[in-house]
Amino acid sequence: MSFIEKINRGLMSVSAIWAFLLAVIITLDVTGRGLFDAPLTGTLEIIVNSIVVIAFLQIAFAVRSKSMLRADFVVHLLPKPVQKALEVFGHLCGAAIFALLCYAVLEPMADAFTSGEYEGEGALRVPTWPIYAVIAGGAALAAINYLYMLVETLQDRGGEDV
Amino acid sequence: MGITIPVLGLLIVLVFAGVHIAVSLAITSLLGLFLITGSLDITIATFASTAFQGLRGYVFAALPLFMLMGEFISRSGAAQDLYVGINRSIRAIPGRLALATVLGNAVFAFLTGVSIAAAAAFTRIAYPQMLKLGYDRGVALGVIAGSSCLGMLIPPSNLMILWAILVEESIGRLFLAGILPGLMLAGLFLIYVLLNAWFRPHLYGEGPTASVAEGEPQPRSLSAAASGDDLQPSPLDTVTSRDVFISGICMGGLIAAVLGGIWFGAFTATEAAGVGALLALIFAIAVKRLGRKDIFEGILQVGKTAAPLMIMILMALLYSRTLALTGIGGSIEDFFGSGVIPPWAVLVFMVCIWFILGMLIDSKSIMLLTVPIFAPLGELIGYDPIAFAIIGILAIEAGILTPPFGLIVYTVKAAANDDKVSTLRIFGAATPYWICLLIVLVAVAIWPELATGLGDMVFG
Amino acid sequence: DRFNFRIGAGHPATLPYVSELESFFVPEVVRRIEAETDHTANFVEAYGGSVAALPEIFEATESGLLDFGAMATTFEPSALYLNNYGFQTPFGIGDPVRAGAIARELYDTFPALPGQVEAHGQVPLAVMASSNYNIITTEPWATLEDLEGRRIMAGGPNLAWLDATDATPVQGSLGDAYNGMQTGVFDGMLIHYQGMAGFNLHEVAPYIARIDFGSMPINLLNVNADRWESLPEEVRTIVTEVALEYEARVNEANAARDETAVQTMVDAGATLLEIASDVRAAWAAGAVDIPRNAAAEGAERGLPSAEVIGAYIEALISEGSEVAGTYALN
Ligand code: NA
Ligand code: NA
Repeated sequence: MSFIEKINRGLMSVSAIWAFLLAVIITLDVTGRGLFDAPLTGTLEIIVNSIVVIAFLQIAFAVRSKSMLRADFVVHLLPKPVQKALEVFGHLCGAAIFALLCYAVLEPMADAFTSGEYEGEGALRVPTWPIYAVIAGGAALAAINYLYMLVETLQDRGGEDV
Repeated sequence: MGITIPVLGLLIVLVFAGVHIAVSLAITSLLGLFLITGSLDITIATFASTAFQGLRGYVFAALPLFMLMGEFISRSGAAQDLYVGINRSIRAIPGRLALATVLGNAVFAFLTGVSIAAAAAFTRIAYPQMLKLGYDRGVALGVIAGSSCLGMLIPPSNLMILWAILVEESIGRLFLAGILPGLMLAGLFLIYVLLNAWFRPHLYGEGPTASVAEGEPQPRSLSAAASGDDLQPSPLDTVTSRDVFISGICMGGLIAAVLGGIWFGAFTATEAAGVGALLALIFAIAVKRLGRKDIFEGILQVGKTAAPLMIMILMALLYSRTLALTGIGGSIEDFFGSGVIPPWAVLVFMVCIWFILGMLIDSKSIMLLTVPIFAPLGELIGYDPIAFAIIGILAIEAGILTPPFGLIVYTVKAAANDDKVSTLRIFGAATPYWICLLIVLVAVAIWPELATGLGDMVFG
Repeated sequence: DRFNFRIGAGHPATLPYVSELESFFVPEVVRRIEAETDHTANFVEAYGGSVAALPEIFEATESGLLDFGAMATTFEPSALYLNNYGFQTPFGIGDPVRAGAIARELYDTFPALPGQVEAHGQVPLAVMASSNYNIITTEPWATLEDLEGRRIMAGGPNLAWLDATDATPVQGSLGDAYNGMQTGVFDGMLIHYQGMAGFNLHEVAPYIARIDFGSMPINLLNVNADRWESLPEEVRTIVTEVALEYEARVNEANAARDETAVQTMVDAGATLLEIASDVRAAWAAGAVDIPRNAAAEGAERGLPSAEVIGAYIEALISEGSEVAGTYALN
């Protein structure tokens, strides 16, 4: 396993377990509310902020393991060299989009950090810059993985499923 | 409006060129935003804002959490207990194993939200037995593929959650809307199997007297099953009445807790998903002795499926925002609201697009690509949004049973790992099932109460 | 010239600050520009969050994705900290017209209020008050003791108000309220009149306590500053005038709709609970920390929160508020 793949897998594991912990938090909130008049305050803020973080921690692994959905039936009808060209084009597009996303959130991240921006008023205040940071990091890693797969395609290694 | 056509055209080209759906949506949207605003800064700021805000909703957690619940249940091997229980209780009927497959799927559908999972599970459990009894291979896999469509229609359903997220509709209400059409579909499947077995008994083996076959399937990942390596024979005889009884009670309790909790207002759909995932885990560990490795793999598997979906939802949101800014809504309103084209013709047009796309692309991608345009259109021509959602899901699901892409057919083929049956034959055997889907679709289009009735009763 | 404007809101056109955009602001601006200048105007309208969701309107108007954005300040707890003085001072004025007048007066008195909007590349054109916040419950109540242990649902910024009582505050949204109260998961909700009637909450929780948390000065209509600067003077004048008319119409519509909402619910069998003024006073006495802490936090942020909240309290008192005098900011 390459260094990149180790990072992909590590982030995926962390966030997959995080997603599972959401189930635990929700259950605590629901039972606390129903049985003891004591809902777990801040559950809403935790859930709402977790989902985007989880998604961007997992995205690199999803890209690398070819879990990103695509329609390849037309592609399969085409001659091999064209298939390869399209694949390279697709990876290039993916790398460009996620690199752009990484760049796009840098400024809001800096603004959020310097102004101490937070979300949520009542139960829990969540600073927003770490969320932007995760989006930036996740997007950057996704772009790197697309480039990695692009190189693999060019070298005709095809990239085995992870 | 002038840029709507090129923007849509580019999307279609990118999707069919095999570019990842999420990436296609993003490229198209960003280009559209740039053309509309004339500013790179605005385009980039919108991209960032959508990425930050797009998934900030309590409902988004419902998707991975219901997936977790389904994954734990699937890995626990409860489907097998259900199948055996049903199988034993309907002896002496022609096509018994096929009927048990339909019924088992109907019950299993109340616990998982993915058709593919059900298709893989029942191929492992039911196919070896049907072979043993001399079922026609195509017929056997056809019934498995067809009946696994129930998973998407009977709640919980990932497609319904996705639809609810896209149109900001209540997940609980949409879940309720699927019940009657889902049961109706199961009924049609049963009728078809009974009639077919009655008139062509040779396709359904020796008939009702043969005993339950042997061979022990491992309680294992459905997704692993879907990838289809070896297919061991299954000694379902080792499943005792006690297993069936305990699984039945637990599954019934889980369904009552999760769906009942939503419908009787004890908690929201997201909360139900969280509680359901935890209860399913407890069941899998305490009752079915699921190992630590299996549990961890299940959690990872959900991450692998959920993350691409979340990113796709983000990009679809960006895309629907771009569409809103093109003013396409107004144009559609002018065009279809004028009454020149009758509403039923508009509906037929949309159903045809869905059905055709269903043959080519996976269900979730179709929804993300079409719902932002079709849902307002459906409302404009006067369809109840809930009934319209069910119609859409039926049309899209029908497509996964048809060639050339028919995802479920490929899934059962892969899970069966049987060279003696061709994909084409399974497609042929599955045809009556997607016709049943279309019949239910027409019924819901004519009587929307089939979908909306229960919801109106429960939610007022 | 032909001006193509993009206007958006996070709420659908069911609340007056959005419906008046659709029915008044947009057609009136288009009509007057056409009639009074050599220009024409056209709007792409994106309400209900179709281009920017509730928490994004402010950023979308800042970036220029929207030229005009109608928003609620509650969704910018941090960027518009000062502007949220209404929620930081429970028990305001129940009448949206009078509450709106106070909001306008404060806006014109304290440059820091529009200043927070201007700091984010926007010009505020209208400042409006919301529907009146009250409590709807499944069982009647008269004293604060009666509320003890009751599970009352509220949106994020209202939770602190409930903390001043022995009720159990539950965070939740309007969408879950009906079901939750029907089954007894919640015993009530702190929400404005139009929300109660709009979601038929009186069907499951027939007791409406007129406690008058007040009509909140939370809705703004802002325009992107760069776009604003680029417009000809005559167009800006028209838009400014129409926006002020829109502001007045929204406040009046909120007042009228509040009245209709209460009447509809009473006609359908709901009971109005008149809450004694000493109960309000006792509640306010328990809530004194809210404005005090807000004033202190504002000071830390370098904002004149104490001054704004102080002026707000003065205005409430001169409008006849019996409880605002309870609050002391230091
Ligand atoms: Na299901
Ligand atoms: Na915001």
